[in-house]
Amino acid sequence: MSARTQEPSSPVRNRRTRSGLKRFGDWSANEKPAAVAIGFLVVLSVAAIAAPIVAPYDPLQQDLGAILNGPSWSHPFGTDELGRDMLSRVIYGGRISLATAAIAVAIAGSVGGLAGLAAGYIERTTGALIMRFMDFLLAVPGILLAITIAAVLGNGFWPATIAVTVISIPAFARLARASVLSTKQEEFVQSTRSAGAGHLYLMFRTIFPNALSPLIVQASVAAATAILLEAALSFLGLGTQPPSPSWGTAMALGKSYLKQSIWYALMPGIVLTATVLSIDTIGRALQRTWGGSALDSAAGRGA
Amino acid sequence: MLRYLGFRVLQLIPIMILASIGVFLMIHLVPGDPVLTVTGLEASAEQMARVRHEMGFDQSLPVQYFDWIGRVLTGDLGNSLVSQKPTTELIVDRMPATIQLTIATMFIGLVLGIPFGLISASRKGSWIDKMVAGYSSFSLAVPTFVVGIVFILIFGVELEWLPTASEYIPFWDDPGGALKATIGPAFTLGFYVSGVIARFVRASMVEVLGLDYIRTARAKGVGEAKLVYKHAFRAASLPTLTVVGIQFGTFLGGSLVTESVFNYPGVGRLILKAILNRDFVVVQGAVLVVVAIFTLVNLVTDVLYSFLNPRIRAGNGG
Repeated sequence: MSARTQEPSSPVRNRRTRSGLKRFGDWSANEKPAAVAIGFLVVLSVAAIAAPIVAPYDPLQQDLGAILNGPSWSHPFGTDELGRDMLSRVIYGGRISLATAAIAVAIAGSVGGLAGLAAGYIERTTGALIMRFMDFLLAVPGILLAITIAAVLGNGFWPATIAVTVISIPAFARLARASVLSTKQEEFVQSTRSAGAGHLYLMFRTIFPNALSPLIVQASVAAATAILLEAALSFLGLGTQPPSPSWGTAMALGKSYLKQSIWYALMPGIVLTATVLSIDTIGRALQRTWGGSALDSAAGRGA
Repeated sequence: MLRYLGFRVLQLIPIMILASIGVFLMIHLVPGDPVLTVTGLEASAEQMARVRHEMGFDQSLPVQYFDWIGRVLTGDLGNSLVSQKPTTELIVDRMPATIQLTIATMFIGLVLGIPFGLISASRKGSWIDKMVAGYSSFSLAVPTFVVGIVFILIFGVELEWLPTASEYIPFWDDPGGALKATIGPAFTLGFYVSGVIARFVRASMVEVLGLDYIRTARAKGVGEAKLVYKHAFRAASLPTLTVVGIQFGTFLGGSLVTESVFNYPGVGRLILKAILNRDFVVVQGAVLVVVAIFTLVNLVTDVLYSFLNPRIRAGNGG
């Protein structure tokens, strides 16, 4: 096939007359991997939210007669060194990962988005100051900054979540500022201004909606990064502490028992990878649909 | 060109000043008394006051900062609260291991990533392209500690070809041993890097292949292979250089997670251990050094980029 082949253009755009559900159906027919990814995340989220009902066992319930078992009918994901059911632990662990991602994206998205909006709209000193501060946050490798913040705040769910949130802010700010700067010059903004619109109206009603789609794509990148970083922090012993069933903690413990049971460390790792891969797939599909700059989902990711 | 170089070097100063203040404040706002790390929990109030005075913690924050930064400029990052060894010495000891790992990582990343990106771009839309896209997505999504554990599982536990924990063996002392000890962490990180590079090479190649001069060359009958590998790749390799530079700078600062999975004795493990021990002198010094390395490598990358890019070289220089 020649290199000049055009990417298939999305038929979804400009079909305002069709219902939301129908448009979503068309979109997912075009983006099959993304549809599968959405399905996986829905199942995972429902399981995590309804964990007490869905999980076959109490995640802390020990069974010393069945330690480090491989997958079986009664324990589909096997058991850990105390005979706790790994499927239940992975389901409960999903609560931690998803909560971290949701909190990080919500807070970093609003703080970073607002800061970027202000920096792009005001431009002068305030804007420059905001962006220099973001540059400083970006000057430190993401994982290192997260670990230092988590270490400063102490171990646990909240310190890890705060650390992940802080390092997610600059990407939102940069992106919001860039889209505001380009939208600001558009004719419809200029005409709204000459029609007498106030600053707040211009910022939030005129400019902001047009800067939204790159921010939504960035939200998917940030969610994937948040889940990866939370797991990395827990893996290093700086996040949620045992006996809480965080995926990273489970893998760190499972690593010591690789010779007895490979499933213990492997199962949380597989679910973690599938989750991040799903979010990344959806983000890239949205980006194809909306166009826009090539974002690197690896930004700020831990190594 | 010289003006650009000078401008970029001057830009380093405010970044490093900000970074040093940031690192200093972050560490000094730690809840919990660093004096306890030295004296232990059973120290008397007098003992603690003496240590506090010796270490300068009874001074105001600005005084402490200028005191610290003054010594940093002479190369003295302070002594570890735990081992009493100079931080500078601890970092210098760990650097060779991290440098060796970084070089091996980048080698694996480039050897896998560039061909994948090239094939993918030259067969855009084909099943190979889709396979490579899947490979990149996967390598970026799977956490390094998952790759590391699976690697240990296969080569350490099942096949027993490699040790399950690695150590640092200098390449020039024992190439075979060094390879065995470094391949695990290097593959783990290199797998990730190869995904980044493949994605990036593909994107730049697709852009370049659509340009006029390539179409002209194709119309003049230049073969597809020569077109892709000679004409287009030369142009596309420039933006790729930036990504390689960023990765290089990141890994030179040590890889906390991967080094910890393999117990590899690099800078990352040094920092992690210091954090877990609340050895804030080492954390402060090492983080500052890592930020300096990261910023410097980014600067070198930018300068190299503008030097190699004929458009910038001939023009006013950014």
